[in-house]
Amino acid sequence: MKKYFLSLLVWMLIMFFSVYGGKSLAPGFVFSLPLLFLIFIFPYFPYLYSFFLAFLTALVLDTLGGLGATNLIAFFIALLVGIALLRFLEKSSFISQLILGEVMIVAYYLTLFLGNYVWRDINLGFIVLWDCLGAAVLYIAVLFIKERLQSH
Amino acid sequence: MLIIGMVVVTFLFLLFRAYVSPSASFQRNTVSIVARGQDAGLYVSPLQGWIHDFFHFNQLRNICRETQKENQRLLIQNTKITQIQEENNQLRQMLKLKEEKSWHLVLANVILTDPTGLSGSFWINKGSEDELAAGMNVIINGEILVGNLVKCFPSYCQGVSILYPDSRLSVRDSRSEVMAIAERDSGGKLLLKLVSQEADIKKGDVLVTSRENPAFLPDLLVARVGDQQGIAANFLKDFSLEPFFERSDISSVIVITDFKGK
Repeated sequence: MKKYFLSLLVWMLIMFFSVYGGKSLAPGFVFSLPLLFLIFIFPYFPYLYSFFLAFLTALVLDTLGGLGATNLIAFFIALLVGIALLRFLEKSSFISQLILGEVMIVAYYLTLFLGNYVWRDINLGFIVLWDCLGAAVLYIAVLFIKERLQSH
Repeated sequence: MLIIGMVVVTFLFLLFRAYVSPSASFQRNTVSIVARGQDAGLYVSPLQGWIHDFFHFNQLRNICRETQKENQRLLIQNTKITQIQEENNQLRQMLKLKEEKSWHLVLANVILTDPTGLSGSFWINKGSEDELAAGMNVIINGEILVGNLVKCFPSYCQGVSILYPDSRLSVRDSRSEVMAIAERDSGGKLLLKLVSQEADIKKGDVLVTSRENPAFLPDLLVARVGDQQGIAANFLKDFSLEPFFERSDISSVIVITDFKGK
């Protein structure tokens, strides 16, 4: 129960920071902290809980974002890809976590890009690519720090 | 011996009184007292000032503490006044615009923006209760076009900026009257596209909305022409554009409630 409470608390902090962190009327590069948080916690919680958090996150992002429900679909597809990968990968290994996270990040941004391009006829362009690269690099950095802290 | 003892006791008493005993409570005029130099050791003779300060240390300490409090109060007051001044300036500009263009304007604050950074949509704190509706143009000071409203609820509205993905708007060069299309490129920046070789468009020209736009009022400032991007195979040239509004410096906007589709 304690870990659920803690994860909800951290999720709320991350969402608060994402929503009120900075005002921008023009599109631009943003670190997707909610996505990284979901990738980090999802192997250690029941899938239903991860989907619930993803749904809440997408609800906020899609409501404020104005790009339909593309975030919701992207989060769900990223989680499904993650669940499928967990059948073959060991969640305690560094390399497995690296592959899992990076594939989920690519799945999320690819769905976001294709979803908008095909469904809504909107080309998000290179911003998605920069966001994807930013999230991938940040994920590696955080994973590396986590690994270092656990080894000591 | 007795005299020395009395002197020491008197000295200790004075010292105790100066350092420990409570002094009169601070009043609002502390700043003016300090400014005049009273109680702050600013005397004709340095020795006189030193002696005064030595025996009034407690009082000086209190003044210092209260001055810090006063300083904090003034800082808060200053922040509030700056906000009011900004709002006042915007209202003045609105009034000027109202008189010049006979527009009906509503001042609103930007409360939220797109956290994903992909769409450039924003939310303002005024809605249909303030007679706002979808389609209305959103500007900032100096008739700079920001975007338009897309959804309105009773107490807030959602708008999209002109940098929304795949947005296009017809613009006019305010110097040469040449018309062109401004659109967002794949990197999220505004481009002036499909400009013929003969078109008289130079770097630094100011672009305004043309009358051909169904969604925007004419003559609103859009962007300044930047560098030429190169000549395409069809001998048309592109220019980069520098929008007049920056990414993150907008906290309040003005909504024009007179619009074509009304």
